[in-house]
Amino acid sequence: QQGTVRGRVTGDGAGIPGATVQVKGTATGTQTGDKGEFTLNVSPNAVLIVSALGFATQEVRVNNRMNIDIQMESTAKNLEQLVVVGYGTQKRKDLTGAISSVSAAQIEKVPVTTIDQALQGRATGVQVTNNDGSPGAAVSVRIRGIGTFGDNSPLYVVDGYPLSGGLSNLNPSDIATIDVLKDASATAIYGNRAANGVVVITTKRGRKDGIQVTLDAVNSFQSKPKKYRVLTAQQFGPFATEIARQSNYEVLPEWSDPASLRNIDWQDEVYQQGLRQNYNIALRGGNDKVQTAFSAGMVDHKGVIMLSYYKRYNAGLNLDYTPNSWLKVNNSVKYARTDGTVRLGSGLTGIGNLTKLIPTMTGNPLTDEVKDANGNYGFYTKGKTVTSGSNNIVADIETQDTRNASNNLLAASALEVTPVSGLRLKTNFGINFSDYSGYYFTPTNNRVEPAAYPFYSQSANNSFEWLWENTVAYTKTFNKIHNIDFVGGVSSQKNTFRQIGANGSQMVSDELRDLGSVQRLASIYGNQETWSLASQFGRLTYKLMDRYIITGTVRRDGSSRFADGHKWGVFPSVSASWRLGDESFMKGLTWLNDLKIRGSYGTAGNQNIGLFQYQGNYGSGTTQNNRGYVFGATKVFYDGITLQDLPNPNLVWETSKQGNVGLEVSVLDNRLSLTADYYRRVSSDFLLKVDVPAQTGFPNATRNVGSIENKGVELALSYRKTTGDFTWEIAGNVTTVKNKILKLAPGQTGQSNFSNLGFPDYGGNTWQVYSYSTLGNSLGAFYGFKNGGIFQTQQEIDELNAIATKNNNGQTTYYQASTTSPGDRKFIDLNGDGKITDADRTIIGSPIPKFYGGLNYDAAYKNFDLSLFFYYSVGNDILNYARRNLESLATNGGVGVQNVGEEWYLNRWTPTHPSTTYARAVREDVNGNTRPSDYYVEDGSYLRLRSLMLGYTLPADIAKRLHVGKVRVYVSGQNLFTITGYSGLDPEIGEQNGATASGIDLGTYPSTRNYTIGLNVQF
Amino acid sequence: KSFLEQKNTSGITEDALFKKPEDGIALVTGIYNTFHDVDFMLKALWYQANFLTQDFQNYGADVFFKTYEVPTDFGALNTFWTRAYQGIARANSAFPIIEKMRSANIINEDLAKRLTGEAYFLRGVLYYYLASNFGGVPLELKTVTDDGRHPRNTQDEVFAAVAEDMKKAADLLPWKEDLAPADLGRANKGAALAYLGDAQMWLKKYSDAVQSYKQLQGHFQLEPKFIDIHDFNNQNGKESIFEVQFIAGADMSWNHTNNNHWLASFGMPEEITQFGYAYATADLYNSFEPGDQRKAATVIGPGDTHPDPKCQISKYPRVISNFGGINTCGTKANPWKGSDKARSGYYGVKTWRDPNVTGNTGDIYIFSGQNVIMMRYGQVLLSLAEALHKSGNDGEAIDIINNQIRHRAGLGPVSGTNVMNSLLDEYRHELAGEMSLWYMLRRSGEHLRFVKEKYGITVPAGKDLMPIPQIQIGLNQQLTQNPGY
Repeated sequence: QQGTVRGRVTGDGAGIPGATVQVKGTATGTQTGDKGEFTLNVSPNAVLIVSALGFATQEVRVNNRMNIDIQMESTAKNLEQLVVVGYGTQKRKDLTGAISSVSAAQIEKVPVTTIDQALQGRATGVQVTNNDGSPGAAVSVRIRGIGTFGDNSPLYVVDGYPLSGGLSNLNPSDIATIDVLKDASATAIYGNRAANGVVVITTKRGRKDGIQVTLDAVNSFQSKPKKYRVLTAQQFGPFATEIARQSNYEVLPEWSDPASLRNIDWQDEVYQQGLRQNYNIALRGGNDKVQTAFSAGMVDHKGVIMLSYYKRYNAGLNLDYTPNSWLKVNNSVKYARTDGTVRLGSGLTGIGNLTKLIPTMTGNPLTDEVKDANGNYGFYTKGKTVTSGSNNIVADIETQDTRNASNNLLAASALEVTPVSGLRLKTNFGINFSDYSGYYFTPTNNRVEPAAYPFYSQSANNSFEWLWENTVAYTKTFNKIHNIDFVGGVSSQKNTFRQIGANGSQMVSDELRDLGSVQRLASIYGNQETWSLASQFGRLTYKLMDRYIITGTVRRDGSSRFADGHKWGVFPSVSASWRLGDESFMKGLTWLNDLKIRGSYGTAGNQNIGLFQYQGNYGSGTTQNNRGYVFGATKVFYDGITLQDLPNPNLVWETSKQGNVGLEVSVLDNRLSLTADYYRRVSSDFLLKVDVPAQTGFPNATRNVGSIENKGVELALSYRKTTGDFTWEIAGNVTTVKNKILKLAPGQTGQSNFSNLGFPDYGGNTWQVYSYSTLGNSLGAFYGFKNGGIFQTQQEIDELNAIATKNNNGQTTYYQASTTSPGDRKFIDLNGDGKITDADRTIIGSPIPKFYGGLNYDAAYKNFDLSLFFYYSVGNDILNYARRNLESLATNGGVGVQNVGEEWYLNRWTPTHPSTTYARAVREDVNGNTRPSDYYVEDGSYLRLRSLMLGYTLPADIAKRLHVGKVRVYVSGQNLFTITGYSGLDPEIGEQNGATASGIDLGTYPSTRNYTIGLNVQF
Repeated sequence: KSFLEQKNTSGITEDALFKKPEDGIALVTGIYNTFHDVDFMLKALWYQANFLTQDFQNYGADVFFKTYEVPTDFGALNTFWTRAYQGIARANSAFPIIEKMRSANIINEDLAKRLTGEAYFLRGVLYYYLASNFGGVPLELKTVTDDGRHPRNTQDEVFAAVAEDMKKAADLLPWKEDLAPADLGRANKGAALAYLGDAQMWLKKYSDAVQSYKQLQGHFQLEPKFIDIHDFNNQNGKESIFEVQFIAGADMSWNHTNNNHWLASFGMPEEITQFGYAYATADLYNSFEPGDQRKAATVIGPGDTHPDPKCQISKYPRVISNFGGINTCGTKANPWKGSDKARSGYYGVKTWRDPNVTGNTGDIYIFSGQNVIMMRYGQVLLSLAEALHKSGNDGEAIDIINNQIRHRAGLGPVSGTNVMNSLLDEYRHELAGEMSLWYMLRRSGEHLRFVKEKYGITVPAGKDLMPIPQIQIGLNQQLTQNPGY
């Protein structure tokens, strides 16, 4: 018995016109109308086959329904899909460059705070690392490796506006697509800012067919972090007493009576369950003439360490007018307010110090608790060196008063005119404004001796930037087989940054937040600086018979960052593709849907260096040391003025030259598709402080030198299938990257790390150098000694000392140190001179993974949907300084005896327990057991289930009864499990301070498990 | 174009400065600052001027001067090189700026002349010491803009440049007596002429040198008493032509600033300062003629009291606690040779005149704020005598030696007839322990003979010149090493 079934075929949130709806096993079928609607006479148990260009074909059972809404899944390899390239769009099938796209649907699979997090594992060639797990944490995004010792961040372009600064202010739920431009063909149009790749973000705009309201509510519960196992007071007291006695060091007498000590687990004290709430509302819609998209959202993230939080409020409006066929106006305004602080974060003085704190306190006669019921904080006995460096971290966190708030506005308007068919003239004006203000206050601290004065610091800055671009675009097809597509234009952009701040101590009252009441001002600063960019660019694509495509791009960029005569650079690229699958001789291969090969070569630049680096700065002021002189019979010191650094008027941008070949294949009704790319990027002329001859008057100068190669393969594979109501897709991607320094400054073989990250330097364990970037190796590779195990006997040491002495003409010489004893770590004498010196250091690991990528499985059955998403990184090493802390009694500052890890404590070398792994316990590490060595280098590979999501969409008829279009509820978990051999809390560790300080675990604010419930309503 | 021109309003650039006279003065002050470096004064200048003569020897790490096998990576040589070129670069950058300030009427003609003269003088002095020590070095007479990978000029070319700088300086600078008291320590016409004469001596232009030196007559006088030359209370005295000025700071221990030097406690007996890293030889001590008043003011040994009543040996804390407060520099029975007896027991006096310096561990006063005399009239007179001798006027030369230098030392006329030998002896006894002796000897061409005769040491071929620092050759392959290395 036939019945009438009505329905609507939708995809990507809109009706799909022209979709085919066919009854399975029959010739009956129809095509959908303008809004995707259809009507068919079918039997109640019929199966409909629904297909539409660019969408996966579905089979749908009628199941006695009279109304069937069919949501189509767009294929990743949708050949007609528009990809946003610089200053225009292209159909995916016409692309000649390497571009990865991430859709809104994918972004929504993982709750994220910032857009860059959503890129993780989704796009080949893009390595995304959360620097840590703190609320609002920064994210390192590296496209096709690292090519400079400086800034490796890509350029972000949001709705056509090239942003200076990151993405943290945008609301991920506003995003329609992210297109990552990777090869030179794709990036060259962004010239001197594109060397590190370009991420193009397009936000959702209004539809032309009515108004859709979307509500989203997401709550994530974050579990407490995993804990480092450290000693309890009862373990620590006697142990510290014993160690201190050995090294004639002062201890607190009460430590020898463990029963009397109150145990404090500092990790328990500061760890908490986190909660992340995210709410969004959006109204998007319009008619043929006016389309609007309004959205508002908020994120409120309370972290897993006490008093850490991040809040952001977003509001945005996209407003588009199309008054007639030749005029179009697009406007967009995005506002964000952010507010967040992390009082105890990653790093040596943060979480790195947490495990070091003595697990008990005595000193405050009122309480030995962390904080008693009356609000009294415990503290350590004042004035004792043994407890110096230890503090009541809870008191420190709670009494701090910190605020960091900023307002951000990004607004742009574009007017496009089409005077004749195929010709478009467009002008685009935008501004990007941000305003920050913050303060930091610590009150009088009587818990230490001498008491610390209150300290207050206040600062504010703002940045105002404008952009004006004018483009002309022309498209025409000649003789049906020749097609040209041209865009060209000019652009100018200017940014002014201003800041002001001051700080000092000795406030009149702890209640005040007023610089005027600071009695001892420590510093005042305030300055402003401006940069500007001017550009001309063009891109011409020629397409022959829809099969042979060639694209040439060039941009000429001028930047105020460089001196006269060096401001302008030209960045060309060329690329071609051949749609082999469309050739007539391939038509016989019915299983093949698409086959394309492409190749490109070109250059891009990186001008993102400090302003006015080409100038030399003079030193002035009252420094008594290196400028002044003494004149006169009565000797008066006069300050001098000297040039502090060598001017370098020849300074230029860094240049990246990249070649790429790619292959795109789709087979089996577009169900199986593969994209493969091979890339080689050589970045050169990066900035480095180079040693120069003393004849210049200076020891070094900033110069453009050297080159770095990144090469690798990117593969993305997906397979999708629909069987009845069951649709599923599995996709995976892998990116390999091999980073190699080809050239440094003339005569230079290596570059050590720039910052020392605040490592303590005492005893025999200097950490001043921990990474060394050498020719033929990767940038930021770890550097140190090779672990040779543990000395078991004095005889073993004596024999090595004898050889060292013999090598030194009989003068007494030691293999490692005069005090080396059994139980100390032995290092390997790599240069064979019989003793351990700095020359025995070598490359001991690299933070750069050999390959990384993502795996996802998505399935839908009737109203249920399931998705799993894994992220993995393989072959990267971690330098685990946190573990070094757990195996060292000394404090970060080098005084006192502080807590250690239980693993080491229980298994450490003792004469009766001769470990071959763990060194003996010493307070003064004169042998340098804890120096940088491969003992602390661990394989940081991991596979993490980033997200598991299960959703249920209310049946359409129920939804209709509720007067809503769609209701979906879901539960999901993030970071549910991580497979890793890494011993620390979290193997996901990003950059600490630039590319030369990457992958070092100083005590990292960990990512924890999240349990999320979410609700999505559309009407 | 102007859209891409942004002004730097944060960095202190040339555009931001030099709009008032004080900035120009401070710019030149920065050149003088070159001398305010502990290692430059001690291990670069004083070491080579004295250890290479063998009259002083090193205790500690730098004993290689005894064999002239100075390692090419000896850090002090690099300090010498880098610090000197730093000062030269500061001078080079000053000339165009001062000229711009002058033409913009920011500074008047007189100040412009003085500042330019000082910059020429200081650049010349730095090249003078570089060439005296290393032989030819690259001449950078303008700001280096191309990374400076330039080859060495010859020694003669460098001294010719020194002479040019000193001529210009002499034309621009006032005499020392015309300097205001507040400007003492600045370069003066006499100093420029003295270094001009020295450069001419190196270039073997002896009659020119005579002309230069003679212009100082009437502007400087010998101190009647030799001991007064280095008296702490006689800084910038009438014999002094150019001094590097130092000043004592709040902390004269290891946290001292660079505005003082380490010449004093470094060479005082270990028994007093726990240092004693430079000591005099018994040969020097014994080489003085009887009655030479310069002896006690130059070197003292076992049984000698310090000639300066302000430096009572008995008052040093360690002498009180360890030696019962004796007032002699050790005793004949128990000379002060250091705890391992590796020193001679004889110590230089010229750098041991700052009564504040006790150099004792636990005491704060290690470094000295006393000025260091770089050029004095006694040296100029001896150089004049050599110039006269070499230009054939032995009579006038002997007259200076006998009636000025030896007369002041309390000695009668020279006994020998070899004027050059007499000159060498007078150089040694007049200038030992100061900043110039080795350079005077090498300039005379008699330095190898001097070391051979006095110490029986044959200087290995070419090792009378110090090696170009290896690290600089590494940075600039255009630099060729001296042939002895």
